[in-house]
Amino acid sequence: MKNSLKVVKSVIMITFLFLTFGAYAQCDVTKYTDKCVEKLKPAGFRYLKSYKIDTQNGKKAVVDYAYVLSAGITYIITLSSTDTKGLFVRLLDSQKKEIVSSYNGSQFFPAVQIKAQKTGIYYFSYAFKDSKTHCGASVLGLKK
Amino acid sequence: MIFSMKKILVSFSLVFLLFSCKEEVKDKPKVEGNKVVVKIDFKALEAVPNPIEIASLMKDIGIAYDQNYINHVDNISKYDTDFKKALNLGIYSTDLGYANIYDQSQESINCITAIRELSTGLKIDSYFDFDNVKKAIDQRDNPQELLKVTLTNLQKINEGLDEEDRGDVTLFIITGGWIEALHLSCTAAKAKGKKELLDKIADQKIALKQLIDILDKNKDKNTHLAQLRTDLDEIVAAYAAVNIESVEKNKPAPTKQEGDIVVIDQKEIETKVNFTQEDLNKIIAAVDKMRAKIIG
Repeated sequence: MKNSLKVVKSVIMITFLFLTFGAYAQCDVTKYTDKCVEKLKPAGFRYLKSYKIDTQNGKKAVVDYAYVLSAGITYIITLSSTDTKGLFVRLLDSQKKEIVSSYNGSQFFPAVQIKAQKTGIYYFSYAFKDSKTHCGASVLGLKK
Repeated sequence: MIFSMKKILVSFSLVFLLFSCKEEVKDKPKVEGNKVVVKIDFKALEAVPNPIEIASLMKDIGIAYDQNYINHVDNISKYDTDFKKALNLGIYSTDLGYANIYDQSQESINCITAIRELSTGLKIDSYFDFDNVKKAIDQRDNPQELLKVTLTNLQKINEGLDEEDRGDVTLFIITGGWIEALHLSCTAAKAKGKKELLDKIADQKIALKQLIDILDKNKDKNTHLAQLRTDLDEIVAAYAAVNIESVEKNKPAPTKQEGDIVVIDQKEIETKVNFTQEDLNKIIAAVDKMRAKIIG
């Protein structure tokens, strides 16, 4: 009898933990992506690609992506998450040297724009700073 | 009492199982047969330039839309292997982007029909929300929405394939899409050799190198990957003399603020492209040959 109760308690605990942390870990970026897309049109950019920023409940310090930018094209990287502050992106060149960041040490900007003059691989390194949010989205847009 | 305990135990186990399995049931189509798992560096594949960039540039520099440039939807019946289906899914995806950019609704619908049929054949149609795409086509005053919806769906196909460890199929789709983008730009360049377009064709040497690097790492995983790698040899040879050189000055480019956007212009970099008419002719011939093999 005691053993059965123990088993039941364990199952309840496991189910509770799974549901709690499983639900918390979900990162649905649809609405954030839509917000990012909204920022493209006023600035004359076309949608190119979207990125999910999920630090998996803070387990990952940064979320990295790479993309080949083309010389002569202007790109914009827009950002969105629950907090208007906290999420930022660092754009790095092929040598992983920082070119620009959407966080200047005191202020978070929702977008960075670059006119590329060198075709090559660039890295987008996303992170959250002083934020309880771990989920967001980013969209890459382009114009000539 | 023991019976009640058992019931509780079974109930909780069922709830647990239900929540554990819900993602798989909803999102992952099953792969039939004993296919070899092909895990490919998805991050590297994602970095390959989106073919839509070429169509976007073509429109921006005033090149008119030409429906003869794209693959005809009637060709679908010829694609009877997964390899051909995946390559041509890439071809039609680029054509869809091209038609979207130029607001060609009927051509877009034709391409979506082709993509639907091919993705069903490849058992990846659950990743593509066709109803959503059709709704976006109806919103003619908002071409940005159609572009977003179609590109997001294509991205979901690739992500789904990555999760299913069918990286070879992703690689075929991306390569097919890239070949079609190169075909569009080369065909347009033959008619109107605008400098921006020629530079873009020369730039594709970098995307080609990315594809070759990924294929070289994976060509031994199945015969189709090996075949694709071999087929690209002629394009690699055609690009051999194309040279892109960038000179960076020591001073980094300054940033400025425009509204709430941080802006940077890499003026400190000077890029020289060495690309002759002879190079272009070689690339056109190699691309035409490979595309004909894919769509034929």
